[in-house]
Amino acid sequence: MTPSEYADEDLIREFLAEAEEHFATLETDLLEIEELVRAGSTPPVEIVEAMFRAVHTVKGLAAMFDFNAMKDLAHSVEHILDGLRKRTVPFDVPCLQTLFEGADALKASLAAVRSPDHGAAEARAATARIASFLGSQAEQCEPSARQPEHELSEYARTRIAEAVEEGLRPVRINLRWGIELRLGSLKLESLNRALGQGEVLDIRPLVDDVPQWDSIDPHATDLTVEVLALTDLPDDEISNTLGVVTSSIVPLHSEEAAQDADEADAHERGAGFSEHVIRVNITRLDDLMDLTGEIVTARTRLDELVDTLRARDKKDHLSQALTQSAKDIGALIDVLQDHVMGLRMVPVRQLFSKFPRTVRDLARRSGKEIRLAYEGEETEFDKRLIEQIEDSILHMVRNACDHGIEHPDEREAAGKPRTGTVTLAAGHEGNHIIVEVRDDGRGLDVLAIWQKAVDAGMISPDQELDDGALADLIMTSGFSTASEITDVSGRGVGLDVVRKKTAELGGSIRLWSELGVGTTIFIRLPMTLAILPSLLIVEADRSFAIPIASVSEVLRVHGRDIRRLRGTSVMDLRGEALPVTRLGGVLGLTDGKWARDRKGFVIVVVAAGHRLGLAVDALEGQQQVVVKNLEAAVGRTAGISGATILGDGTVVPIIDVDAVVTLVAETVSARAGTGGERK
Amino acid sequence: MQLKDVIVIDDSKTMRTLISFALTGYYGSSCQIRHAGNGVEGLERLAESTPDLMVVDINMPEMNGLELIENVRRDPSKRALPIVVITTEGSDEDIRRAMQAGATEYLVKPFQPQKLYAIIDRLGDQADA
Repeated sequence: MTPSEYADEDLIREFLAEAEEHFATLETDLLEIEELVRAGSTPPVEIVEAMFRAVHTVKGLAAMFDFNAMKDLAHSVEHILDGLRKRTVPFDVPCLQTLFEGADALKASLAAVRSPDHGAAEARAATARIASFLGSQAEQCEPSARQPEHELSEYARTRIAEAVEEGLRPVRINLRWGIELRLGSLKLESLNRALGQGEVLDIRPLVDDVPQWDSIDPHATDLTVEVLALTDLPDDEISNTLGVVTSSIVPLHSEEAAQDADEADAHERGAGFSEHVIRVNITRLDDLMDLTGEIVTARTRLDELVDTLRARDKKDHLSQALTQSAKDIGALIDVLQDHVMGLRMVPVRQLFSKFPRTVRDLARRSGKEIRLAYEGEETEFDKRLIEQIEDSILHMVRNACDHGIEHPDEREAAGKPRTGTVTLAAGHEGNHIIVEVRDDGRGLDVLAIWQKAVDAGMISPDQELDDGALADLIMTSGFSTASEITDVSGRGVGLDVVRKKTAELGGSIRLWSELGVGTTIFIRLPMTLAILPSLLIVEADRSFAIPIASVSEVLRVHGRDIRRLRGTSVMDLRGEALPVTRLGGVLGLTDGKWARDRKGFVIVVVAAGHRLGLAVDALEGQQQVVVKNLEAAVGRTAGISGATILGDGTVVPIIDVDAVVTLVAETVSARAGTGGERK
Repeated sequence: MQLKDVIVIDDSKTMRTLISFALTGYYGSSCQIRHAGNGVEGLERLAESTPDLMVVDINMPEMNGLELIENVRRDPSKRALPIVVITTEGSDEDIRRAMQAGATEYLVKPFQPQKLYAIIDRLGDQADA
């Protein structure tokens, strides 16, 4: 059996779950048997049969997956159970003791499959004990004094393997606290000196010898520390230098090291899922995330206070100490935030694996040959985010299959392979994630699209179509249906949804396409949905947050900079007329007028293929805000996507830039009576 | 042999999944796999319809594999139904008993899927001949 044949993560997980059930049954049955034996009755054979079957099943499965330590152990335990059911082994305390140990060791070996660092030594020790039980059944029952279980580090293993050539031998030296190891009297240097040309590989306390807390006598206790080392000196020389008895120096066999290495290799095959896993309801993680977000906000407030204090008196010790302390807390919060976010991260493979079926069905229905490929499927995304973008990815995959990939004959005629490829790719870019849906299909006639958009007055003739603008155009509802470009027809259907959703999540879309070569759509999203980097502004005496992702620049303006052009307020932005509107006006807070002598700011935002200047009274700064959904409380409000609570308790609405821009664009075209309102 | 319908009888769910995995990996997902956790359930599945193949474990609760096979063979119409035993026991005695009960082929766990395919192909050749 080569392990690769069944080393499928899901299968192994299923195996682990089943084995765990069997071990639980085994333990319950053992306890029942123990009760019966204590009461002086003979346990019914059915219980033993059931236990035998449980262990037997695990043995078979472990063998299938090549988990040899577990298989051997199960085999040993099975042996005792077989003896019990055949009545060749008596039900007695030693036997039960060994079975209990075996059961524990089986559980440990299960843990070893999950996490290579644990359980292997236990499993090995238990197998040995069971073997010794079976070998000398009647007389020797009490488990012998436990050998210190030694898991060697990779360094130690490698060094031990090399040691022989260097004329060194590995030894284990037990040093007892209070006798050999008085605090401060034995330092690592003296230890190294005692080892001659050798070195210390590892030092660890032997925890088995640790007495109960309440019975510790600091003067008398023998706590033992185990030193694993290489040396070229004879035992008596070491014992002389260290002042220990020779018997506490045990030679370490390199076979033992080799065995450890073997086991480590065996476990590596099970890697990939080798973490301890507990299931946690995602709402609890959300709560944790929320709380972390609140801390982030509170910290911003703390930073503000510290800044104020420092500005007042830079030399004051208290303020200096407070500054340092705030800085430390800040750093810790960053780490905390990372960790909490990490909890919600799952490989994007979970999402990607939903599409092969869709692609297969689409291909079959349309008579195309389509292959689905993945890139970066191990990239980790926020679980919530994955749920949010699933539909978008589905739309993009559908579009690629329906409109991107050509029929096999057409592809062949164009000198392409008959099978088209749709690639799903994922990756990180700073604080953002990128999802990419790529096809090697017929591509878009970008020039024709540009011409069409110019004709329709959607863009000006001197405006170039970059990747972002192209995506906006293609994905704007109504564009493709209005166009006569046959290749694009239908392209926009569904993609409008993708654009809206992406904007809602604070992300952006780009589209690359070349006629005959293929199309790629990139979605760029903030790594997490819960915390949004925002620009805080003041308008009509209220604070608002604008997602930074939508802001392209911020301008300081005077009322007189804003002029009227064909019934629309505009300002000059490097030679171009930028439509400007007062945020308060859009939201219905003010009449939207701006006095000529008034100073303020214009936030230039880009969304839905339009650029718009949002005039506001003042800037408050940039901040990470925690997004709270408002819909449940107040229903959906036009122009507002949610709210956040600042450190001082102020509730600040978050501007839905996409909605605001669309709202303004509609009013503008309604007022002007045409679609073209630029210049 | 073109497999369309198989009954897999094993008390371990994981083992059933593994066997299904091996079968569908080779014969495609159009191959229907029906599961049973012991001999009794196996007979129930068999009563629903006769499959192309039965894969049977030996050590199972309620009714073990040997009893199951004997039960199946008692029905004259099921004498030719291919039954492959896949089990952990691999001694000559175990194999002899299984074959005596009426097993067609015997495979010891851990098994290589290729061995199973070879057996099934051989069964197909025999049926064609």
